[in-house]
Amino acid sequence: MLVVRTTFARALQIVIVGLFVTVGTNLLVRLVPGDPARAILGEKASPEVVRALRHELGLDQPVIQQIARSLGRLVQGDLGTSFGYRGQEVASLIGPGLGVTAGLAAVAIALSLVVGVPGGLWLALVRRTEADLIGRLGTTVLLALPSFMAALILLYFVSLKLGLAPAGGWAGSWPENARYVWLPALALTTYLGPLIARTVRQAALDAIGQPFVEAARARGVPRRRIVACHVLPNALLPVITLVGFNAGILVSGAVIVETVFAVPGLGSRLLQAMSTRDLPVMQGIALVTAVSIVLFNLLTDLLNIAVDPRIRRTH
Amino acid sequence: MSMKHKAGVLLMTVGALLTAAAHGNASDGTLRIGIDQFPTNLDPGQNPWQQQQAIMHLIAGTLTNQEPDGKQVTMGLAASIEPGDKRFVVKLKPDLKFSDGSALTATDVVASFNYYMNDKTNGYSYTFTPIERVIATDDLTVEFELKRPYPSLPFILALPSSEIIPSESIEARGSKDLYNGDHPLPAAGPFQVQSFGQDQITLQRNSHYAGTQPSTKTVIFKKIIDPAARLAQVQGGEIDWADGISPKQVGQLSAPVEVRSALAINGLSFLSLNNRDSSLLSDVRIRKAIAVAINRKQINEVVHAGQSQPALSLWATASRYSRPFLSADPDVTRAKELLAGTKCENACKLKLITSSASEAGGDTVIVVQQNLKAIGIEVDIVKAEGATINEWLTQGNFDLWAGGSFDVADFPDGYLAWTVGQANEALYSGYSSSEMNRLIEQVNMTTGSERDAAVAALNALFEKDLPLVPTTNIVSVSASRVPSEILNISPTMYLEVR
Amino acid sequence: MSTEITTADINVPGHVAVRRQIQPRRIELHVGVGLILAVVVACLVIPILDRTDPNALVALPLQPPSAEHPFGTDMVGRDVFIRVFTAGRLDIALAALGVLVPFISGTVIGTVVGASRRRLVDTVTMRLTDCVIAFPFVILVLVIVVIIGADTRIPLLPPGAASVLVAVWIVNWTTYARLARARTHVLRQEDFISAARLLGFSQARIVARHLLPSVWPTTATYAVADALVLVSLIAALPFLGAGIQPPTPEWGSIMYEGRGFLLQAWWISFTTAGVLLVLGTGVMLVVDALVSNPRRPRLP
Repeated sequence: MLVVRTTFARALQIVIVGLFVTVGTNLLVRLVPGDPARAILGEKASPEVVRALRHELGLDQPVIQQIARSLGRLVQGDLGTSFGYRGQEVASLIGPGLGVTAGLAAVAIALSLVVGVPGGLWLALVRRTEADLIGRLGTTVLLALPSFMAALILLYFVSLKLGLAPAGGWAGSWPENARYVWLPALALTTYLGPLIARTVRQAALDAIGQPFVEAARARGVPRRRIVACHVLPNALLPVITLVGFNAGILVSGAVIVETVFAVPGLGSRLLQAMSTRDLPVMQGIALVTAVSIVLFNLLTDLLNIAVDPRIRRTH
Repeated sequence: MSMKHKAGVLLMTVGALLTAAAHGNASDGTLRIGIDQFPTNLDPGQNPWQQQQAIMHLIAGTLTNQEPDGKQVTMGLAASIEPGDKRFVVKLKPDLKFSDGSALTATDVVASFNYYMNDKTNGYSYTFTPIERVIATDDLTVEFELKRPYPSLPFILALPSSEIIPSESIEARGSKDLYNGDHPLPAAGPFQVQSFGQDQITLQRNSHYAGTQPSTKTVIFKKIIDPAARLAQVQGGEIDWADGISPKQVGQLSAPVEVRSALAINGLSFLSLNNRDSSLLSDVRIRKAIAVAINRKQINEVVHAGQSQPALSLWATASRYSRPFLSADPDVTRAKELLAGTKCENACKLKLITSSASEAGGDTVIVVQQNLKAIGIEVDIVKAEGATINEWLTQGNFDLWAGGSFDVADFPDGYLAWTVGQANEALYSGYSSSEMNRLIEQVNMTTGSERDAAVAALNALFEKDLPLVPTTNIVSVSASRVPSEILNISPTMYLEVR
Repeated sequence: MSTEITTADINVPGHVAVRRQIQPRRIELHVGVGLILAVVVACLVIPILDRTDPNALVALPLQPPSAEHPFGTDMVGRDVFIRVFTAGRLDIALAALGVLVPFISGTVIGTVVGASRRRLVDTVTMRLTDCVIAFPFVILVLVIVVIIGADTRIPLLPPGAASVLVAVWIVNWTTYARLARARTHVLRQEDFISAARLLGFSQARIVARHLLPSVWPTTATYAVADALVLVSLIAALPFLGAGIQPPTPEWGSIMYEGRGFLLQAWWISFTTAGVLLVLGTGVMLVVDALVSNPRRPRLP
C-alpha cells in the first residue's frame, strides 16, 4: 500500500521536477551569450548569412516566444530538432549517448559495490588497528583526488604503461564494450567506491554497537554468522540511499571521465552541444539527465522501503 | 583495502585478456584518425572549421584540386580551364561519374553552383559573390560569367564548398534534407561517406573517382575532444593519427609514433588589437609599441616548442606575398620611445582575451603578458569559452585578442577580407580604412606585376596602420603511426590521404 | 554537486544513529589539524618569503625539480613550487567561501522547515531541493559562468571565481537543508523542545535558541568534508571550460594544464596533487575524529 502511495507521490514529483527543469533549461539556455548561427558558420561568414541562418533557426524571434514554442512541442513529447545536425530529432541524437552513459554508470556502481561493501565491512572489523588507519587514509586519498586526475593516472599508467586496457574509445555494441568500459568505470569507482566503503564501515560500527549484536554474541552465535546476519544487512541500508544521492554526481563525473577516455556518452554530447550552442540538444540532455536522476532516486526509495521494515512502520 | 587490491588485480587481468583479443591496424588499408571536431551535416557551406574542412575535403569532388603545397591547383573534374577577365570556360573530363555510378555532367555543375549562390545560409557565400552566373553550353562545357575580374577562381573551385553534387538530388531532396548525414549524397571526391555518426565517421574509397585512386580503402574518423586523450590513443594504438596535439608533447611520443607538422601557407597567429575609439589601442603608437615589444622567438619556443616560425609580416612566411618588416626579437627601448606621449607612457592596463579551448592561445597570452610588462603595460588576461569570446569581439569588449586566421591556399581574397578588410567584423579589430579597402580590391582583381605592385602598397599601408600584431606562423602538429606517404598534413591544413 | 554522505550525516528515516561511547580519537584529531595547518601556513608564508611572480617565465619549460625550483617548471617555464602555494591561498579561500554560505543558509532553512508544523512549507522546500539536485550541475555551472560573465569579479578574487561560487551557493544549500531538517525532526521529539513549546515560547525563539544550537554541529561536521570535495570539484571545472581560468594559479588548473605531460613532466600535476592530498588527509582525519564521537561534534 505504502509502495503504491510513494510511487504515486514520486511520479507526481517527476512531473513537477520535469516541468521545472524544462522551463529552467529553456530560460537559462536562451540567456547564454554566444550565437548558435555564428558557431555553425564560423567567424568568416558574412553578417547577412549569419542573420539568414538565425532566421531559419527561429533565433530572431523574442526569447519568450522561443521558450513557449519549445515548451509547446515538449507537451507533445517532442524534444525538438537539432541546430547543428539539421533536420535530426534531438531524441534520436541523444538516445545512444544516454545508453552509453547508463552502461558506464551501471558498471561503475557495480564495481563500487563489489569493492566498497566488503572493503568497508573489513575496515569495521579491524577497527582501530593500523590496517583500519591505512585503509581510511587510502579512501581519503582517492576522494581528495580530482576525478580527471584519477582518470588520467589510470589512462597513462594502466593503459599506456602496462597495456592492460585500450587507451579509450568505445566498441559500440555490448559484449565488445566490456574491453573499453572497465577502465573508465574504474575511474568513476575511485570516487564512489571509497564513499561506499566509508559509509559501510560507519554503519557496520553502529550495528556492532547495537544491543542485538551483543545479545547474539552473548548467546554464543559464531562471529561469522553475526557479521553475515546482523551487521551486514544493517550496513547495507545506507548504501542504497548513498548510491541514490550520488546518481547526479556520477552523471557529472561521467562528463569528465568520458572526455578523458573518449567514450561517446551523454557527457561528450553535452560538451559538443555547449561548444556549438546547439540549444535544443542542450535542453534535451538536461531534461533527460534530470529525469533519470529523479527516477533513480525513486528506485532507491522503493528499494529502501522494500528492504527496511522500520521505514514502513514510521510512515 | 586488500579486498580492493585483489579486485583491482583481477580486473586488470580480465582487461589484459580482453585487450589482447582484437586490434585493427593500418596495413589492411584502414586509417583511424582522432580529431576533435566533426561536421554535423554534409553541407560544405556550413562546416567551416579546419577539422570539418579536412573531412569534407576528402569527400568533395571539385573542378580543380588543391595541390598540397597550397601554391597552385591542378585539374580535378575539369579537363581544362580557360581564364578570362569576365568569363572562365571550364571543360569537364569525359565520362565522369558520381560515387553511385550515375553520370556527372555540366548540368550538375550548373545546378550545384546555382544552389550555392542562392543559399542564403551558405557560410562561403563570399566566394561566390563575384560570379554573375554559371551556364552550360554543352554536356562538357561550363561557363562562369563574372561581375569583375576574379583571378582566384581556380583556387575557389578547389574548395570543398564548391563541390559538385547531383542536380537530381538537389531537386528531389530540398534544402532541409539535402545534407543529412544519415543518407549522404552521391559525391565525386576520392572518398564517399559510408557512415556518418556523432562520434565516428567512416569514409570508403570511391571507385568512380576521376583522379588517382588512393591506396587507403577506409578512413575512420573518431571524435576525441581532449588532446591528451588523442595522444594517449595514438600511443596506445587505438588510432593511427592524433590530429592537433600540443607541440610540447612531442617529447612524450615514442616509436612507432612520430610527429607530423605543417606551417599554414596562408595565415597567421596574431594579436587582434581593438582599433575602436573605446580602446587605448585606437592610438597607433601604442599598437606599434606592442608590435615591437613582443618577443616572437620566445612565443615560438614557449608556445610551439620551436615548431613554428616568428611572423614578421601580414602574411605567412611561406606566402608569396610576404614582405617582412617586423623583428623576431623584442626591442624594449624602441617600444618605450613609441609609447612616449601616449596614454601608456607611464603605465596602463589592457584586457587580453583568449578562448579557453585554445591551448596555443592560452600559452601565448602568458608570454605576451610578460613581454608587455617590460614596457610598463599591465595585461589583464581573461579567458572564456569560444562562443563568449566571439560575442566580446563583436561588441569590442576587449583590447587584445590572441587569435588568428588562415586560408587553405595562397590566394589573398578571403584572408585580406577577414584581417584588414571590410569583412573584418568577423575578426573584430574594428579597423576600417577606405584606402585599405581600395588596395584589397586592386589585389583581388589583378594578376602578375600589377598584383605585385598592389600587394606592395597594401603591405606598406599595413605597416603604417598596424591594426593587428602578427606573432607566429600557424603550425599544426599531429602524432602519427603511419608513413607520411600514406597520411600527412600539408600547408593547406588538409589531411592528405593516399 | 559532489557530496559525501555518511550515515552519521543523513538520518535515514527510522534509522536513528545510536550514540556509542567511544574514546575521542585525539591523535587523529591532532594529526589532522596539524596537516591542515601545515598546508595553510605554507600557502600563507611561502609566497611572502619567495617573491617570485607565479606567472613569470623563470626557466626553460619542463625542467625537473631542482634546488632552485623544488617542484620543477611547467610547460611554459613557470616555477611550479610558487604557483602551487600561491594557488593554495585561492583554493582555500574559495573552499571556505563556498562552504560557509550554503552551510549558514542551508542550516537555517532546514531547521526552520523542520520545525514548521505546516506541511506545505515542508513539501515545497523539499521538492525545491529535489529540483535543484536533479538539475545537472555541469550545465548549471556552465550556464552561470556564461550568464554572470567570465569577467564579473568578486573583489580580491580572480575572474571566474564569482561564477563558480554562485553555482555552488545555488546548489549546495540543499544538502545542508536536508541534513538540518532531518536532525530537527529527531530533536522535535526530545523533551527540551516539548518543554519549550509548553512554556509558550515563540517558534522563532525555539528555532534560534533551542534548535539551531543542536542542529549546527551536525551540518558543521559535514561542512568540513564538503570543503574538501569542493576543492576537487573546482579543480575539475577547467576540464569543462569553466572555473578559474589559467594563468591564475589554481590547483585544478595547474593539474589540468599538466595533464598532457604526466609521462614527460610528472611534477606539474603530481606535486600539486600531493599538496591537495596532504590537505585532504588532514580534513578526513578531523572528520573521522568528529563523526566517531557524536558527543563532541564541535570543531577544534
